[in-house]
Amino acid sequence: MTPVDFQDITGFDNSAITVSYMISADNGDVFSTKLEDALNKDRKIPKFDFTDVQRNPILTVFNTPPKPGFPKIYRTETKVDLSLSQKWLNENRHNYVGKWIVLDGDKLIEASNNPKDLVAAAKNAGVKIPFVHFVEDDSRPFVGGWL
Amino acid sequence: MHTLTFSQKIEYSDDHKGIYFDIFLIADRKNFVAAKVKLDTGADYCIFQKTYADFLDLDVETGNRKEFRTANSSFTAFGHEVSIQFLDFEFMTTVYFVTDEEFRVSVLGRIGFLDHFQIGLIEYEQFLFIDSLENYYQ
Repeated sequence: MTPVDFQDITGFDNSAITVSYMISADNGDVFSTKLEDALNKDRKIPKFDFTDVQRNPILTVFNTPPKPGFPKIYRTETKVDLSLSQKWLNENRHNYVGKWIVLDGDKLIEASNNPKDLVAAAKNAGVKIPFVHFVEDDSRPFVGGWL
Repeated sequence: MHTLTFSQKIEYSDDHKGIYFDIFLIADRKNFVAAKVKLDTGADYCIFQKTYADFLDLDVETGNRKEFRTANSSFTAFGHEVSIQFLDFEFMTTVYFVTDEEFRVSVLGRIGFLDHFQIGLIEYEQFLFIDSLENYYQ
């Protein structure tokens, strides 16, 4: 059981919300109830215990029911930021045209024509989230007829 | 008059190389890879080079096989369910990995990516506005 404390959600003013809400977990489970039913006597959202709840569960408030099949998107606490890798790429890409590269932030881990080398190199270096990129020759414009 | 509102505004490069998004691909909730991927509004699906599947420890050919046509040819790819994290959004979706290791581009297309968002584009200024569909429905 993974405890999830929805009181930790920033910017959520439960006193202003009177509509129903839906809680989505990464595993696709959706928990829906009326906010009034979920508030405790102090008008706080209590802690929930869900089995297999993944990172970054979110609270979503709908004023109107969404169209059926509406895809669920969760909001994370931090944004994806690859600026260090992008900076390295801007400064060094000309040396690696036609190669795959793997970076850990702005540190080059491996460059190779063989992508299999990169996987091994990243694992050996213990990189948690490797930035992987094929450095295209982008001297000509691109359109989507690829082969 | 129609109006949309967006929580996010992206200023993309004016180098005429395309619109690239920084994303994490996540498989099995434990394997991550970071990538810069081109937005291709003309692509029906999200297509990734096989190398990304290798980093995600996915066995590409166990996925849902699909044939794709391009302007001048065709290729085969295999669909796998992954999570995509982009800006502060995260969602489950199906993307297709190409088995041909000579394939040179990965793209985010309509089904699997664009259908999760509302988007506004001012190409002249290199501004892209984006938000989840929740905002559209609220």
